[in-house]
Amino acid sequence: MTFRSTFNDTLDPLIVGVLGDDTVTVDGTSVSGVWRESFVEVNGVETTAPTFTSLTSSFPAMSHGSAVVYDSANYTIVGIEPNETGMTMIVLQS
Amino acid sequence: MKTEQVLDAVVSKLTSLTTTGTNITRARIYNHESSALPALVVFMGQDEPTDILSQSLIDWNLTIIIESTVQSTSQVDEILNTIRNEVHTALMADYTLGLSFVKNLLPGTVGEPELEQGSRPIAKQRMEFTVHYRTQYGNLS
Repeated sequence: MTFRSTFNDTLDPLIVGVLGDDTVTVDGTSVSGVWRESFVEVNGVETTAPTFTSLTSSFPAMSHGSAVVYDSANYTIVGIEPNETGMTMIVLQS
Repeated sequence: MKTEQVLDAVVSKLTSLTTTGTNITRARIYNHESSALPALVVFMGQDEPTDILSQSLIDWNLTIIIESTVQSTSQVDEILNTIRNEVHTALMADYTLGLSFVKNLLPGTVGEPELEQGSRPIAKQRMEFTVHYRTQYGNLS
């Protein structure tokens, strides 16, 4: 087993399990991970960029337009960004 | 100063449009609050003398830049075009802008919509108008 696969298969789930303090539902399926909604300035407008990151394997089958609920607020997936380490960030629109 | 009177008249004509309401400012340099959109900003563009009449009068072409900004989950370029039509209608209803020294008002270039992503789509568009007006030779007031 390579270091990379050990890290991806063993440590990522452990880290998300300990630090993934937020839960969203994606098309009705609960997923634990990390919610971020940081400030961004876009075209001279003060707004935010909501994203949610978790293990790729934790997400159900999803696509652009899938429904996400976080903290009783509804969002729509407008971006799905998997990386090479087994994590995926979904980009959301409120 | 007549340039200022023109700019104030443009702001007055564009206040309380159906889509942008009272969300209008002049020469805004700060960001928009998301909750205060759609909005218009009126900027002064180039002001160019075009004719000097017997060392008595000067004719000028003043460029007015109007920037519209929207944030919506609806079709944002469609909203921009709605605003564009409201701006055009409000300004072109009276080519003098209610000012005796204004000789003509011409629509100019409408820029390509700038589309960006935030928590909801954000779009911005710039519209230009040219105001042809006249001042005294030695006094712009």
